[in-house]
Amino acid sequence: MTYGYFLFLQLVGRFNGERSLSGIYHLLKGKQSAQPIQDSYLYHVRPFFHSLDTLKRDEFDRVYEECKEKDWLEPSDVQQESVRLTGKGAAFLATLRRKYTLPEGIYLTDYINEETSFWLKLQLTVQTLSELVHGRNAFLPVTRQPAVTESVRHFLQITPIDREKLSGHVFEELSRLLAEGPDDEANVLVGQLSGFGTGGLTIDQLSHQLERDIFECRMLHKAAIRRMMDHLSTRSGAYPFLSRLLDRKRGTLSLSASRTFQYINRGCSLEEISQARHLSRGTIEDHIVEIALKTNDFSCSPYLSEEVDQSVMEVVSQIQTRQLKRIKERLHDKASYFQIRLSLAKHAGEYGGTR
Amino acid sequence: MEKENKRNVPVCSNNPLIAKAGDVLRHVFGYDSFRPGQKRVISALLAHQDVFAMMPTGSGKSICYQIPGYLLPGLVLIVSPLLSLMEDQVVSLRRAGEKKVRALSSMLSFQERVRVLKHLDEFRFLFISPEMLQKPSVLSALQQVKVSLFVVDEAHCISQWGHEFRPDYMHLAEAREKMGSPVCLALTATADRRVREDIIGHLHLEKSKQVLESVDRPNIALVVRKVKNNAEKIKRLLALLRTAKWPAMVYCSSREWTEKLTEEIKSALDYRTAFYHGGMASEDRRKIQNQFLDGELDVLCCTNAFGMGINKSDVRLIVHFHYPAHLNAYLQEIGRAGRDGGQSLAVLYYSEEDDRLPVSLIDSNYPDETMLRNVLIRLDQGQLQTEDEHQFMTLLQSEGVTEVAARFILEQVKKKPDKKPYLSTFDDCLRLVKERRARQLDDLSKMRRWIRGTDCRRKSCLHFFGEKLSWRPRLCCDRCGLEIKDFQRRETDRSGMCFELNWERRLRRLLIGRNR
Repeated sequence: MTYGYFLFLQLVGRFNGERSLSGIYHLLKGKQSAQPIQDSYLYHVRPFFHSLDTLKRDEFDRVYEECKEKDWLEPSDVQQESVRLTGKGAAFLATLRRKYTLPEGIYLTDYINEETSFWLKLQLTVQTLSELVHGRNAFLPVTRQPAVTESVRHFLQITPIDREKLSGHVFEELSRLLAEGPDDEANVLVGQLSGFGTGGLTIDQLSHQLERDIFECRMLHKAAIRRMMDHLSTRSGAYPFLSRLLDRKRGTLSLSASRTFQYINRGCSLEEISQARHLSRGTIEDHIVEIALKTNDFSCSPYLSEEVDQSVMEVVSQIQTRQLKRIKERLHDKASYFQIRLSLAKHAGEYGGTR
Repeated sequence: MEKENKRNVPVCSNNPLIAKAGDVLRHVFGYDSFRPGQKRVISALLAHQDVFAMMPTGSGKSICYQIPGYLLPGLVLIVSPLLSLMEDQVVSLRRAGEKKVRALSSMLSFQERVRVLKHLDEFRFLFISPEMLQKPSVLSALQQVKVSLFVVDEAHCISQWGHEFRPDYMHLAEAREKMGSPVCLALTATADRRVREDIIGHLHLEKSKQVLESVDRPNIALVVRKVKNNAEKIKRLLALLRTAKWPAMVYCSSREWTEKLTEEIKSALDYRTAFYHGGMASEDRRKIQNQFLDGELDVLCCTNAFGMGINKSDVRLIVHFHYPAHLNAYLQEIGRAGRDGGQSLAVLYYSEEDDRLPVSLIDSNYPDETMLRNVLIRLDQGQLQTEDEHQFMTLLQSEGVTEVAARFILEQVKKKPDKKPYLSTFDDCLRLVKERRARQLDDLSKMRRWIRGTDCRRKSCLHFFGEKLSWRPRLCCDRCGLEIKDFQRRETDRSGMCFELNWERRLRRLLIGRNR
């Protein structure tokens, strides 16, 4: 469990009582809604976003309860259902930091939206090839998600070489990819792969077999996936087969936000987009904030004047917070919530690095 | 094994159709002889006669429609209630070399569904879920091809008396008629008299041939052990697993118990053990299932979410750590042992504290009065809608209604006549709850009477199904006297290989075929 404490306490420290426990949970799960996406940038915890996507709420609550019992947490006065680190908690976190680090690959966050589907595609591809090269043409697939099944079917169809050869190529590329990262990550990833005569292990089983904390196993798994996706997209020439499993069309934006972005690029105003897409103004605002967070050269000027932007930044540097309510209290009617969020998003990169 | 063979029926026959059926049995499926009941079912079907067949779990029901698939012109359509069941059937047919087989369910992508419907005339077998069969587009596509056999698998789902009632099974007779009333085969493993009458009535099988095999599985010995409490149960379970033959399945009443027992077994015995329950991610469930099928696990601790459609032939031991709420479920669960005909053992542990569980489980199947009234009023006021069934179910569940209870409400309100307010169905609903609950409690009390009974287990179990015991195997039950040591593992039956954890070796084993 100590690795779980390590992750949880770090986030508590980072949010410093300004976000609720649910906020932390949604961040780890990678919930595709405005708040967690925004938090992941504003508080520089992007690598944690979607890092524990299989985490169950009761499991999360257990970590919280245990940390509370050990007097590492105290209630926060600025946000309901929120906690911050006690002196004891901060000291313990410092100890944990000497013992643990986050695996390097976890910082490669460009393909977060796609990592779940990539992982399923990879599992199904390996399983299918494994069964085929061992002469079995029927098996119980590890996933039945129609989109995944379709794209693996497509992958196998467009590759005009025989199955044994294809399997050999996939083996060779996977070996090369995994050899570039640490063995720990490779063992966790390959341990989960199913195929002929063997069902992949669940993370829970792997954690027992490898005698390692389940939270650490999940992080190693995620790091391995992110590293692979990064290599496959930046060096697709070196991995002609596996790079086809990547869906290059999608960027880091959520699906709905990317549609809104298309409208913006066509010169539509916020109101026009809202009407055209039958979505509320608030939703479109969420999208614009997300776009501002994730797109480097995005211009906020149609929604945020230079002057308002300046006054938001001044308040932020005065009271050192990223909590909207407290900023708004200072600014009264000078800035809307949307403008404050946009301003924070625009400057998200400027205060404090991620590592 | 020897006794089992004696009961089998040799293939040779003067009837040319049956001789052909025997050829298919040997050449396609690789069996030497028919099992009891199979031949009678098949010859009736081949003579275009409808059949109602009750054959116990693990007795080879599927063969009854698989063989006619090779002898009749046209499509064999099999209605099946569960995706996992369909999947398993498709895989086993594919492994027998059959390519012309598909399953049509809501899990298919839209493109795939269109592909299947376009090529219906090219298939020999089509598995279909009952809700798919209600779609006009599917039905009209089926009307364009010749359906030579209409199979209703798990036919007890049609009966409200049954423990797995599925309202969408009620429309099957209508669908069959629309397809020009092809020959019908209704199959079930265990059904008492009431359920049988329901099946026959709903599917209009009054004139059908009835093949009723005994629900008894003579190669499974039955043991019930009374214990003081859970602690003693665990102790006994560990002692049993220490010597008894694998692979084993341990049925528990809750997710928590499957996980707890897995821990206990792993730490005490170092066996390859895993748990399986409905709360796990679907990919994880599939992994555990494949591990079990591939012989990578010695013991599987599971809830009743595991089982349907699991076709593993060499399960040697079924333990009930908690008893199920009816004998039907018990028979179905122990029936997963010894499908290969080999000697197997079923052990049920029972303590007084277990008696509370099933009743609360039964109650959770229904909405309470306040909740029911509340939902109906909200429906009348337009605060709730049933058009999107999934949304309706999710909403109710988020308010603490169980899935089964939510489905119950949905079923009832869908039946409401137009123009009448929803609240007018309140009294009918309550009456139905009372009726069904009473019936389930009745089933539960039968289960308990069987557990506490002093007579031969096999005989008294058969009695509940209106059967007489005609032949008693040597290893019968605890009442007739048997020793657990009759089921001892030999020293040579060692636990198999461990999981390969080194990534390079594992990857090589997965992706590089044998011939390299």
